[in-house]
Amino acid sequence: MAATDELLIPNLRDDIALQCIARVPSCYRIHLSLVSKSWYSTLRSPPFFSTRDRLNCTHHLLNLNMPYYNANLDTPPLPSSAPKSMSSAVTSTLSFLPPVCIFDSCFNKWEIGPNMLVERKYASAGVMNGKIYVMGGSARSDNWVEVLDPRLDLGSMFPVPLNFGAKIFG
Amino acid sequence: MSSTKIFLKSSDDKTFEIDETAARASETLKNIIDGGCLDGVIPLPNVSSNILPKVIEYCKKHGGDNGSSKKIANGGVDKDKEILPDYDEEEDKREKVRVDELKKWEEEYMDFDQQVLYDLMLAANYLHIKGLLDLTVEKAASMIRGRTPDQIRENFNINSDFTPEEEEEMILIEDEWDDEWAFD
Repeated sequence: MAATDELLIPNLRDDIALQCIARVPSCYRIHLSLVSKSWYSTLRSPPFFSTRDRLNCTHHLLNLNMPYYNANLDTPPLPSSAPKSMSSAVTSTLSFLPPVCIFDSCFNKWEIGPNMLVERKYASAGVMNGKIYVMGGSARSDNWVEVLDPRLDLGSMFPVPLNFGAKIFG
Repeated sequence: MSSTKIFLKSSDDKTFEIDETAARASETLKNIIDGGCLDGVIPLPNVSSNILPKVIEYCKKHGGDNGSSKKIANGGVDKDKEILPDYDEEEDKREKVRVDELKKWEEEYMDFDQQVLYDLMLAANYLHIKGLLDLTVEKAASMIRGRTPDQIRENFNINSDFTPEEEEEMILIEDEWDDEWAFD
């Protein structure tokens, strides 16, 4: 569908209109998309996601996909190949088998991330300050904890070992 | 803080007076004042004389009073506030009254037509008055949130440029996207 040159909101500059639209929680997005062609294309555009990011309207989500545990999320099936496209991950989801899979909720698809440092089973994970921490599940005492910053580009995203884990958790 | 008078000139060449303390609610004006480039009157070519008094009214209310507006933004609770040993309950109550009074003032202040809302958003954006921008953008967002596409079009006078077939197709596409939005 061709994008239009129409203003999002008549008589209002688009950068201001974008701020108004970006404040609306995305659960209403279906309604927003149907307003007009310019709204439809805006809701899929990088400026929309960066405005939401700037206004702090985004949320992070960590989803654990493990052999014994299937989180109750209806994301598309995990990828078998690595689709390469622009990433503006609002939500990141982590699979617990190397490599890490990143779910890009802006475009509703998975991307293949870097390999994890070690194989883990029954590991724990959490998000702190936007970084993903994965702990335990490995027989090796080094690399007991590793950290991944999903905000980096896929190319420069590597897990980093964190070696104080053994002291804290015994 | 001094109460030096600042003069602002609207796009249609009308001059308005504002206290320096109030003018500092605007980042743009604050930078001009602090930059020492103040040469009598500050021209504001993007703000008309219809809107400027409204902007000045907001600045007068909020100039030098960032604390209370921050509390409103946090839903009336100041998250940064630590409970100190000499925590004064009475003072806290007085503060709550001030916040309530400010909320009531904002309700009355925001009673205007849509064109004024648009112009205020532009002025707040241009003058970098974050509180006013938040207030006005939030009002526009409330006219979108929870509304049907028809209601949104009506609220903002937008013409739908979808053909009925396209609209039907869109609903199908959106259904596929639907799942992931449940978590956001």
